Amino acid sequence: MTSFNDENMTKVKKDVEVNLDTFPVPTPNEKRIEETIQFIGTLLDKEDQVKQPSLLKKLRVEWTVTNRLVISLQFLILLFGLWMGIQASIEMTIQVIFLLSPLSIVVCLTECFKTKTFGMNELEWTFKYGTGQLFIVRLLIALGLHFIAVAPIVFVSGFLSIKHLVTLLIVWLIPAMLVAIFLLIISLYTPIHWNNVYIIGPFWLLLSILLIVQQNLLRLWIEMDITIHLCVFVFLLTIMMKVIWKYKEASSLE
Amino acid sequence: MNELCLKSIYKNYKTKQVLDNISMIFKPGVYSFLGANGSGKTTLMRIILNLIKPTKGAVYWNGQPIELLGESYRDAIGYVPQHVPFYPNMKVYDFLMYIGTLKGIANHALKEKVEYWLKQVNLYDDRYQKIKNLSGGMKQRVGIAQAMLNDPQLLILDEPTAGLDPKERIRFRSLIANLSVNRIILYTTHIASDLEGLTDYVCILNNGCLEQLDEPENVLKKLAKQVWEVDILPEELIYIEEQYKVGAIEKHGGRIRVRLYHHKKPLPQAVMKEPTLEDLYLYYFSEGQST
Ligand SMILES: Nc1ncnc2c1ncn2[C@@H]1O[C@H](COP(=O)(O)OP(=O)(O)OP(=O)(O)O)[C@@H](O)[C@H]1O
Ligand SMILES: [Mg+2]
Repeated sequence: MTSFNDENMTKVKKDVEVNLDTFPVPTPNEKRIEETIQFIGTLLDKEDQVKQPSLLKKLRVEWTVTNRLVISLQFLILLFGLWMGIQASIEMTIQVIFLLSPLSIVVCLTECFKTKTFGMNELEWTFKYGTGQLFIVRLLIALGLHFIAVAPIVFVSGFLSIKHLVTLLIVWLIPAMLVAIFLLIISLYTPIHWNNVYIIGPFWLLLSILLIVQQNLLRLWIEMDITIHLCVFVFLLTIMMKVIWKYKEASSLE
Repeated sequence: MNELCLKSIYKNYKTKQVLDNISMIFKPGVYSFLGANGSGKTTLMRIILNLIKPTKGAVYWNGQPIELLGESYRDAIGYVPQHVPFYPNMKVYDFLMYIGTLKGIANHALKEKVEYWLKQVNLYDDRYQKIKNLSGGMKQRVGIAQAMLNDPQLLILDEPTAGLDPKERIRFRSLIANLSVNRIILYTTHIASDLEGLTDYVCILNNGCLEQLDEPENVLKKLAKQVWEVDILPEELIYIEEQYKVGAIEKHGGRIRVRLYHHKKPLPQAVMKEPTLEDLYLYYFSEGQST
């Protein structure tokens, strides 16, 4: 390859001039120039940009900032549930799951909405991995925690038939969701940072006492037809999504 | 060289107009936005950050609309919001490491950066304190450190000096001066003395309109021959306040020394004064009347 010195350069320039005279090029209009600039922008290589961290890394980082109170609560629930499962009858165990799972769900969900609770949304939106992804990562952690807390109870209590398991799941999910929705609505409209823990605690205690006193009601509910359970479940799921959506809206700046 | 461009931005909240046809071009340098409470500073910053959408108009970063840039635009910005409690139970160091990860900075580089910025904002010794135990000024510096972690080309600070003591304010100014090389820095304030010797351009925002955008000296020049000082009796003050735009008022023995703004000599005994940045602020944002 010959080196590109001044002499070469002048020659090239001359060639270009001659050619330009021979083949006149129309001047493009403003719009066309803008379009070309935009197009070139998309071609530039993105190599020098910072990479998105992997999901695993996000999970790990998010785990380190998950509220320790939430984690310890989940483990307390787990321990208590396991102990009950080993000790008590099936009926008792169902009751325990009944009581514990709403608490677990809500505590976990409020962890997902941490951004709103601490007023960090404004800042977190400006970060590379935005609030949407952050929410998903937190939801994964929350569901994981919830699962860890409640699922083992089912197994320890010795349910082996699928039918039993399904019934139990439905029976346990519906009241849990009912309470979760209620608590979420409360914490949506109370702008206190620690509303979650302070409000959920006493409320849950009250509910537990009510359930224990109303043994018959519980039995009635469990013995209902499975289709009714399913319908109610779908209905509640819709409401829950609505509430979560409201939560997201409430954290918007407009 | 980076360039941020606002093209006729309007913003309405329901019927209320908050921003009214704002167009500007920013090149690297320090721009300060001066405006009274509610003049739309925060709203404008949020629009530039793509946190809220303008009712009309668009923001361009290096010629491209920011909504289309998304992630790569967020890579380029650092933001210190006006009020942010952060996560109060986290330690300063952990918080910065966390934010760094959210900004997508690789682990090996992150540790170094966090320590560097902790030293820059003079928080290195307090790095293991919980954020809730910090003073207001210290929190503000945590805010600056987190904004700088990704080495932003566009740094936006919303009232960064509010709540800082005078010593901290001076520290802050030298920090900003150091950062301003090759960066676009926008910051809002309503403290006129913050601008002295720091800002390259002053933008005056009044009820959502951009009243002025110029170098500080030029903005002050426009005020020349309009600043007067006059000694009056206390009884006369009401009359003066009705007639003219009044700035600082001082007691001088039995009399009152008033600084006022008017295009011609308001009273025979009035003395013309050199305009200061404080005059600038009071001229635009004081309640009094003048034509
Ligand atoms: N989400 C909102 N909904 C309705 N009106 C809003 C909203 N946000 C701001 N405003 C209005 O817009 C105007 C400008 O607000 P903005 O916060 O931008 O002012 P500012 O210049 O930052 O004031 P300050 O100096 O107090 O921080 C205010 O009158 C405010 O009432
Ligand atoms: Mg503001």
